Amino acid sequence: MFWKKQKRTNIKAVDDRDFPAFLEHIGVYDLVKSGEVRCKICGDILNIESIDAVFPFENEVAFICNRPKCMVIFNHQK
Amino acid sequence: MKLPLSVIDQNAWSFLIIKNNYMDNLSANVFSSQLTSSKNIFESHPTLGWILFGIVVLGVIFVAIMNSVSAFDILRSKILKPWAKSKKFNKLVRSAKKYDIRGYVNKAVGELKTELPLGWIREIDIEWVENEDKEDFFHNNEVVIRVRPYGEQDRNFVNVTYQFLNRAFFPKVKKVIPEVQRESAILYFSERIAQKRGKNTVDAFVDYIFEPAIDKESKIVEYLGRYKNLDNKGLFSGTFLREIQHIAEEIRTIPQRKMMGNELSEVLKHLEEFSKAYDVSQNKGGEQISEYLWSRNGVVSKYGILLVAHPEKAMSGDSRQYVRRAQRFFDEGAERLYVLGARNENGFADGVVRAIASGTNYQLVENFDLYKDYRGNPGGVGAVFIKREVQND
Repeated sequence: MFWKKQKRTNIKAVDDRDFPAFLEHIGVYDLVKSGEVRCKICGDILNIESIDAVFPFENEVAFICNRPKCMVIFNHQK
Repeated sequence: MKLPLSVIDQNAWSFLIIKNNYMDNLSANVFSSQLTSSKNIFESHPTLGWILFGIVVLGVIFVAIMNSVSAFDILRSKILKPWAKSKKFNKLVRSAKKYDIRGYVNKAVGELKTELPLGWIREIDIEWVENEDKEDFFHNNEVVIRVRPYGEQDRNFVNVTYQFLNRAFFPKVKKVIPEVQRESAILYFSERIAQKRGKNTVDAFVDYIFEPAIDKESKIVEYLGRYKNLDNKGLFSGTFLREIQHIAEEIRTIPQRKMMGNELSEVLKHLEEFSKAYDVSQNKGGEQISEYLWSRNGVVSKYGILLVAHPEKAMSGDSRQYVRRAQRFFDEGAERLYVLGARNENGFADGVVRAIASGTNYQLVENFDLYKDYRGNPGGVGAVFIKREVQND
């Protein structure tokens, strides 16, 4: 083939405006709304505005808050 | 008159079949008549046909190029920027953010690809996963980053870049490399990529990535300084990173694994000493680089360094002295040989690399570019060799 598409590193992302719908699709919107989820690193209770990342962890949905330090620590531990 | 339900059902069913057949025939007829009329037009105007065909082919090529050249991504993000600030155009906002991040990161990747060890880094893409359901989410088993409004695009940019480099650097051996050294290397390149996008992005890098990382581990500052100094002499991405990747691959399955931290520190120290000795040798009346500094014979890491350093030899194209020197490294037990060429003598350095590959027991593994050469000038080239497997008859 004359044009071979290069393999790329995919980073999964959700736009801010689609974030509530995404949480609904993965079944955690109500939990977040009712303040029942915590940051995996610092343990703070989260709301929709304060979540920066979401990832699967031991068959559950885990969250990282918007404190920059939590994201850095999370990346160290990954 | 009231018809029984079964009769109505039968009539409705027959009507539906007739209607569907009629529609199929109609669409088939319409499509075939359009095809025939198009065919007639192209037969009577072949030039027009070829022009349209050419436009379609060019369009496909254009879209493919647009998606693979980072400069187009940056251009697209700039065109979409005015819409990105509006709340009405969801899709345009997302595209503006995506092309902006993808364009600048891939521009940097294009330059870093030839500097970093082979296979470390490839271009980035951003995959929007807002429609992913729970099953996909757990199946994919990956982190999903939230991309904030366009007003916080600098923060978005540094967050995504940091994630990207964390995934790319030290493939397969992440767990063997001590955390401080690994994190320092990632931060060093995150900053270099942030610099490509401008001052506000560098500020965001410092606020959202660098400061929190230092808060967690203050030693990072020290390592970052040491890495920067080495990179300014072409010894960081060229020699140091390749050597740590090599050591980590060698020892990750053997008991010496616990010595990784020590081995890594010793390589760093050796390259720093070598760099200082080179600087001294360049001063008027300065001492020559001591013989023992040209190679290192560690527990796992045994390498030699060859600088293609004589402009007068470059003029004459005489590479014999370098070939002899390379063979001596081989005889003395250097398992890996790094050949580093200054920017002004790139062509000659390439010739030396070819001569060593054909005239010694070393086998060329990889050619690479340098951020700066050993004299501190931007550019430069390098190559790494390993001992050739000896065939027993």
